[in-house]
Amino acid sequence: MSNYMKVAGFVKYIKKELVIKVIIGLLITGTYVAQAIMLARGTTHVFSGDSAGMAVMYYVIAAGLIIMRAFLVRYSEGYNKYIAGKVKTVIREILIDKLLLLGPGYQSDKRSGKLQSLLTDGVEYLEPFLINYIPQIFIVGFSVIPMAVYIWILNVPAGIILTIAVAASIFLPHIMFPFTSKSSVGYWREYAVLNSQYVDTMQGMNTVKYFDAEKRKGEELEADSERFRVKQLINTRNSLFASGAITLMMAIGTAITTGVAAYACSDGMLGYAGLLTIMFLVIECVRPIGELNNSWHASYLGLSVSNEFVEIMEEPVKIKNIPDPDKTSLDKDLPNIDFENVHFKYSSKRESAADGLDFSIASGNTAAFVGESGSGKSTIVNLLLRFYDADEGKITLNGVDIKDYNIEYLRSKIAVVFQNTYLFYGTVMENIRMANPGASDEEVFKAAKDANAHDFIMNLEKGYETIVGERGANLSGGQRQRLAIARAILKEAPILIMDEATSSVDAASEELIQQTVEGINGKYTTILIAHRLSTIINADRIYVLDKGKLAEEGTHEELLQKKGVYLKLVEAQRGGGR
Amino acid sequence: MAAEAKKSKFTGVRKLLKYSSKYRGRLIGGIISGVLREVSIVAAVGIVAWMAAHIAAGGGFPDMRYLWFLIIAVAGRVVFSYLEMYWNHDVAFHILVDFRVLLYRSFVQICPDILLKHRSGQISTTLMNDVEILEWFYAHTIGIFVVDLIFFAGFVVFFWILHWLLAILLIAAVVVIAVVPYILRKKADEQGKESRFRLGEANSVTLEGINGMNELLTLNSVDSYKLKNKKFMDALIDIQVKYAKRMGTEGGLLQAVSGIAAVIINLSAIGLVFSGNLSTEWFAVVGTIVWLVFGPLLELSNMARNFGLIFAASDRISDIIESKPIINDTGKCEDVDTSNSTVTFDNVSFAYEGSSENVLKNVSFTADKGKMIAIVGGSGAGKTTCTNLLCRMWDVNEGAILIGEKDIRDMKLSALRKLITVVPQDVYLFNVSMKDNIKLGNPDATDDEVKNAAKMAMVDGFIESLPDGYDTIAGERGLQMSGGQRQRIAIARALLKDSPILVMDEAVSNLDTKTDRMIQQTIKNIAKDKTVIMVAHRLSTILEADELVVLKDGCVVQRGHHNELIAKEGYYKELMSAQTK
Repeated sequence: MSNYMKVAGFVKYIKKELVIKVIIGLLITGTYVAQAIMLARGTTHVFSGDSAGMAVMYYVIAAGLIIMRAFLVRYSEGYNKYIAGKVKTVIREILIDKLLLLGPGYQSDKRSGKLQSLLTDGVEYLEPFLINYIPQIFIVGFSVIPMAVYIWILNVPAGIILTIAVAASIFLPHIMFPFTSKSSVGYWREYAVLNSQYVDTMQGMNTVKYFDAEKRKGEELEADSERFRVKQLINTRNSLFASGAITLMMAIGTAITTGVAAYACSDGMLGYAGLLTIMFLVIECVRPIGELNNSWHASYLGLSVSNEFVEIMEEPVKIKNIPDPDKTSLDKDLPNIDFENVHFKYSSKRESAADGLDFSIASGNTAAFVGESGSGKSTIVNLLLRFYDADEGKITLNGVDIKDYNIEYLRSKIAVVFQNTYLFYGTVMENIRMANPGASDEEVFKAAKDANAHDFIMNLEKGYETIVGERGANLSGGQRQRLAIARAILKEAPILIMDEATSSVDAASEELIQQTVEGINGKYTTILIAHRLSTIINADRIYVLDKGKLAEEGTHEELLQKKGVYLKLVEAQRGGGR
Repeated sequence: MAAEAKKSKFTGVRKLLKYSSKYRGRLIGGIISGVLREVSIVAAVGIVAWMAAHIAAGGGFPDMRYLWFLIIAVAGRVVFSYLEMYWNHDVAFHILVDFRVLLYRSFVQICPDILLKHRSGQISTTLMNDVEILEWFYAHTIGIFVVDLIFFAGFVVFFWILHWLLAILLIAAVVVIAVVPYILRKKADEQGKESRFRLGEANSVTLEGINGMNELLTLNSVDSYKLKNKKFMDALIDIQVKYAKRMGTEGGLLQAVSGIAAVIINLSAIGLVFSGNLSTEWFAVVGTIVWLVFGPLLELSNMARNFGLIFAASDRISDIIESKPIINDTGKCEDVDTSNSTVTFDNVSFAYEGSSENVLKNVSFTADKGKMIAIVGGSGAGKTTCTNLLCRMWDVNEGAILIGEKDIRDMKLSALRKLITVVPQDVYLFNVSMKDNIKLGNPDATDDEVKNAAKMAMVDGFIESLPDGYDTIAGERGLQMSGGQRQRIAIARALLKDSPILVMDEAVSNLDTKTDRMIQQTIKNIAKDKTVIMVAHRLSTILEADELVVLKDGCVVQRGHHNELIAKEGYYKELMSAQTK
């Protein structure tokens, strides 16, 4: 339950709006109640047959109330969506903020699909709980209690029965919650499983066919669907039972309360005006409770993801700024980079990704790291950017431990081209300019030219204004990488890292990228990470990594002379040294 | 235009109803329960009103029988609403299973053709969601629609019996209520579409925060990203608020119309009471139950709003279910001679549907058992098409492909697929354990056989290093497998299937390391008693091949060994010099 309370805490961002919502809700309930009283009065006049005019007047007032309510309903629908949008934006922002603080390290431990659906669908699921259920509690409190009190005043036995029925229909759903929510949350999980099963098989259909597994997979899926159907039906049955019990309570509440009042009336203990008032009023008593229960039921899904929200919110941020961090030591010359006996494991279960790394890269030099996948090349980048912190040893830039730098300052001094470049939804221009929002168009063009990207950009449909990213134009791997390089150049950071920047590009792009790399020699302290050796031959120093350790180091020529690991890598790539 | 849309909607409903005919009994059970549920609700309210009026008229506390009726009505409401919902859902869930099975079967037959026409991941996701949307139709629409119609007709009859004026007024009110959503429909559809579009955009921008996190952090653009996210969220909220306002207008209007209608009926009833045409007891009944008649009608008009969504979904599903299979499995031959695995392309021509240009033009070559044939050529030359035709993903337009002496179209599809194993360019690993991924083509293989295949594919060490070894689920993130590792698992899978023909579509960008050299050696070894056809890019692979088939624009332009071809002036020489510059 405590996690629900924590999720409920999000209402603090929309406190004022919720108060207004409660007021509107009470006004709507008020029109219902007033309408009920008017109808009771009108009916009383019809029964007594004393004045058709009075009866008509009450009905006309009721009609006025109906119109008033129509306006309130119209306004409240729009207002609800406005609040919902506001709180969902805030929650998304809070989550993203936290995830950015936690950095890529946290993400790689999680299934990214799960985080993604939490950020989008998960936030949506919270809407009924925050926007409908919580304010409805207040609406019920402020409307049902006075009505019940009024009925007590009119007739005590009717009041008692109504109170019991109302209390039961409010608390019954909560008593049954563990039982109903379990099956409905379980049902949604199962649905997700079945769904991913199907998507998986359909996406891999070619492979399924190659291996003559259509029938087998088909039978598996059919069995899964059938199993899911049974679960679905059980869940439906459970929730029908639960809602049946609540309906019964409410029906008994209205019918029996009126019955008791009728009895009291026939005994002369209650006037028939009072009886009619009770008859119309009990319906209004139950209405907000019905809405409360509906919104509670709609909240299940949101409550089922509340644990995951809380988990992220409470995850401690490991990589933090020290008090009063260094913000100047990288402004001087091109930095030199030193790794001193650096040890690091991604998790205690996995093998060392850095096992006593010791090297220094002099100011303005180019260092290249090679090795097989899993040898720890990219770990160097992750540590340098402080996506992770080393377990042991230290990394210094210009002699200052990177942990003593302000993190944003540190990252602003490092430009990186990653293996898989992510392009953001927006124009080419915006994507490049991200690196330096103050850059002029000319500076962007210059960077693109330096990255050998200008020509292909100009050939795009709308040149620099072409939309790229998830829903944008399709760029080839090589084109994306060249945009990333343009971005890196525009950043004008003194350290440049190319992390397997050419591993998924075609030959033509590779050559263009190669030219760029040679052109920028000496303008940065550069780290090249590559498995294609052709890109690194000219590096000042080449480090060969093996299982997190430095196996060899030297220039290309020196390493060839050593006839060690490096030579083998080279030979393998030349097609077996034939 | 409007008439057309209506027609398609009507056939849409008919089509959907067709699938429910199997479950007619339960469907009718649901409808009868639904009618009884409505009757119980009205009866309970009516009885209470009647009793109250009776007492008010000085008749004293009525007969105990009425109390029993009341209890029966209350109980009936609970029981019948349970039964109605249970049967409706039972039918719906069965139909959903039927749809899922049908969809899978059809999808198998039109894959991979359909993947060329639609974005791959999207289609399967949409389809699954579409099936789920149909629950709405089967469980919450058809039954309730019929129930509401019967209920309403019953009301009109009941009112008519009391006084014709009341019935006429009721019908008039319903006509007005039906018109309101109709007027606002177009705006609703537009806003609905835009709202979904903006939700999609806002979602993808928010997810950029996760997917592009490395860039955001290193480019120091967290703040501008947040602004952008806010901007897209604001745009989304803007349209959602507009949508809600329209909904609110509609809802308010409907409430006002139905409320005023109820008041008018009440006022007419008052007139009837004062003119002596209606007793006060029946006035009380009419006056209270009239507020109930509009509930189901409002519900119906709400439902009508979802029709657009439901029919769009059912159209997408029908498209798949009703589409023609790309090949027909009419071959009879089940016992295929596995000893003769010679593959012959005999004058094969092929064009993808809807394209006039042939991708392959009179392609002929033979791959003998025990030989390694490499298909070489620039991109778009038709290399992968050759391998696809060999496993009958499509059928040739002209010519024939033979295995042994037999046309592959004369073989049963399953027999053909037993003969051939493919390691495709885009390796797909299923979201199951490594072990099950490798066992795909040979589900009865023992753990030792799996391990052995993995060893031969040089991937055993990698799998053993994973947290759960062979039981590690392949789809988990954080595993971050490289292209090379995935490819090696695919090779292990192929080795375990151990069929007489092996087709390998070499990926362009995978690692060139000593491991891969060793895999080549493995394949060379097993190739001795198999027919191996490779789509080759790397020189190292090409060198291993016994014969090259050089394709250019769908034609075989040269054949022979590398050494032979590289010595001659010709297309092959051009191709290779461009690559090894």
